[in-house]
Amino acid sequence: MSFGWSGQILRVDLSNRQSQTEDTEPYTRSFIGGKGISVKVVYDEVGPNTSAFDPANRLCFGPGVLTGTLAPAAGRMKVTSVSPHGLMANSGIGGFIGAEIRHAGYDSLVIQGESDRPVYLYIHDDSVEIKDAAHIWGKGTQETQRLIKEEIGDSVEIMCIGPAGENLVSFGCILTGMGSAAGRHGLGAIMGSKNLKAIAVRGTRPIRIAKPQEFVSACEEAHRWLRESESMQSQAVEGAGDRYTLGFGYDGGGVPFGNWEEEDADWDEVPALGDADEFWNEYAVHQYGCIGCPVNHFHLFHVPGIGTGSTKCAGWGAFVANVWNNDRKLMFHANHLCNHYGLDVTSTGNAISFLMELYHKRIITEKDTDGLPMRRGDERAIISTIHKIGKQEGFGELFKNGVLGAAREIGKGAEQCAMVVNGEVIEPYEVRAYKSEALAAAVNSGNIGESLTFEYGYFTDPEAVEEFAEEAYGTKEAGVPSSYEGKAISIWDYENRILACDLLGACGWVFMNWTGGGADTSSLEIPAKLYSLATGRDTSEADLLLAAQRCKTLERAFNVRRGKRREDDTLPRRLFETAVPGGRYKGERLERARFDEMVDEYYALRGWDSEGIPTPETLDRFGLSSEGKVLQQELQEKGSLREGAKS
Amino acid sequence: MIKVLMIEYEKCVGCRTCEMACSAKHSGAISPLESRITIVKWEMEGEGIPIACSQCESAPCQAICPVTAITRDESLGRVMVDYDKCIGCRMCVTVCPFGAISFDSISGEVIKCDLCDGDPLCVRFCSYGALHYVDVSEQTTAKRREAAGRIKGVTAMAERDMSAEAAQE
Repeated sequence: MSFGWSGQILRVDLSNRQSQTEDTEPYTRSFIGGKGISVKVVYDEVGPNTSAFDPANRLCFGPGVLTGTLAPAAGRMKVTSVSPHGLMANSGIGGFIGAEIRHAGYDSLVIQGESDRPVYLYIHDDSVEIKDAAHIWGKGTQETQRLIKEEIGDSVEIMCIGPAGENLVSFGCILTGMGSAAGRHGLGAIMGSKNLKAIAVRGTRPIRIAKPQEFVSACEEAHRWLRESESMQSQAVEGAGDRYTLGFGYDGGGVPFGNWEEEDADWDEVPALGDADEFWNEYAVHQYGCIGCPVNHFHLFHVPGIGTGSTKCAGWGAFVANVWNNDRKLMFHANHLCNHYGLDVTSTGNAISFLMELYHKRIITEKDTDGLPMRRGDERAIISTIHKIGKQEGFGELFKNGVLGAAREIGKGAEQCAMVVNGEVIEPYEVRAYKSEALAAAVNSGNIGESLTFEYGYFTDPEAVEEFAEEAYGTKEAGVPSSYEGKAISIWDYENRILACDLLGACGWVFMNWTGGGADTSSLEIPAKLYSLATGRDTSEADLLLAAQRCKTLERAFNVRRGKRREDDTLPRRLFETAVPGGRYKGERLERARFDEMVDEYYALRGWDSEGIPTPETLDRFGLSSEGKVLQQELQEKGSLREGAKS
Repeated sequence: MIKVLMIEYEKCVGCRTCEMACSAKHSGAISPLESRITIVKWEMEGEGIPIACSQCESAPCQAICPVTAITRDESLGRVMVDYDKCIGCRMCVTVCPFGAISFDSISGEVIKCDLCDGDPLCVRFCSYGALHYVDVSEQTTAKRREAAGRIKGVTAMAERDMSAEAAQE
């Protein structure tokens, strides 16, 4: 009998419509659970030349060891696969689906193969059915979930794709409930390529706990700790995290206007961004979030004429200043449509921002966009673009392969305006000013959220941030946005910590949050204790961090096998060649030489060589010798694999 | 004074923490089927309503039980199942008008809220103030006070408006 873990991994092959289970145990010592298991499965089973939409690609769903237990803020699940951009990618999803999978008896789901027709998966404990989805193919994410509930009952949790994922849009997401989504990296397109519309789960099995009484007491204390945390409560209950994000983000010079515009951008056009009180007071319904969370930092909004739905900071980041818009209702509408089509809001916002820049610079005219002038901030431009991308109609088809794909088709220098890393858009942070975010975006394919550090809290409480930086990383500079010092070590540390959370299903946002200016919940000691009591394996914060580094190393080794090298860990030229055009950091630049030093430092901390390849010693140190042999052998046989699967 | 489990339905966010706490306490595992309190969810509307035994004064489950296994414990104001007598006929499950008694297929017993012998764990875990364990006389106090507060606010606002108008004149 296993404690903490459900004990089994469910593997479904859609090609031969078979499912089987295997024991979780062999994975747990080294990789704990959650994302750890998925990274190992993908490393072992997906070859370096297997492309994203190949039936042999694996789509892994990894709820954590604490997901579905009484542990607070542990409802997260990581989705892992080779993304449409050719590298291994992970994206997190919350809500209730991860816990339901755990209660159905599984620590992980591995989907492989490809159905010859649209299907959805219905998992009810040990019953696994592949059901026809012809009647829901083409439907939006909300209607899809409603129709499935009508068919198999209300008690299921569902995650699904919308038309975007079906149409293999490279930033289609996987969504559950009213808007919790694995947004980044186009994992919805992987589901689409397998003809898998949705996964519905009903779980009724117990998760056994090694030391139940102590676990319950420790959980009670942890729930109280988060409930009483000032930074959590101000962000969640009052909605401060979302309501004031923009005002606060722009005030700190942390968020770019438009598409990281250059010096000659018409900065005067920038609207004054206040808080969102008016929108909030009018339309907020109540808090909303994931299972077992004492924070619940989403809010539900009901906007007559548009609908009811949730949004969090990604929506606010994608559809306000990014697209020169200051109308929060329009922001909500855009976010709501992305949820409907199953589109990643960050990438969609950037696609629109990119078109607006091209239009503004007269690289495109309305003739290129089906007669629609892509004026900055224009409501029709924003809304129509989302419809076109979601349905893959007209100029929306340009974006099937993302912003970079569109830029290549458009030509005429548009590629210089594609703000992407490895084909994936950068999250809207002003990386020219905030140096740790520049490094994070460069080494994580544009995904800053996986390692957002405390420097973002600098303008809320600079003294607290500097004090924390000094204590944690030996220099105050680590907390000062424009400084290059102490950035590599803080990114390295935050990546490790957030990844450790991913192994447990603990929410990185809750446990590593600094954006509210408080460090009062930034600790892995409590998750480590809860994990120890649930599983009966005495595990410290340091043990979790070691497993996290092992996982990160293996992920990197996988991507190296697919050709990822140092030259891929960089940012678009514009971000080195232009200065911030306005705001608090007007004139600030990202110096390439200093940036390179940060990358060197970061590689050294990770134990990777100057090309970003994990050294044999590093692989040995993390107990990855046999995995390392695969890497070494391929490197010797094929030299560089750059021409392989990577796009 | 008898205490009751008071539910403020409008405060529930549907996080299901109470279910997990309840099952942990009663079965030693995190087991949705073994929870005595259940969140009924309308997933696509973002709503959830907790359902638990109301400890009815005149309980249908007690009336229907053919072997008098269900009795009222006056000391805590709760309806209890005597498992030594229970024959597992599940008639109590059938007649409960709220679906607050269920049959636990794992243990093979009917299960219902026992108020954790006077210290309900679900209440200790609820972060949103939806669950309370209060004197029966206080069940309406908070609501009454909130309503009174609104009236007071309205009255005070009217007074302020009147004095502001007076000042302008």
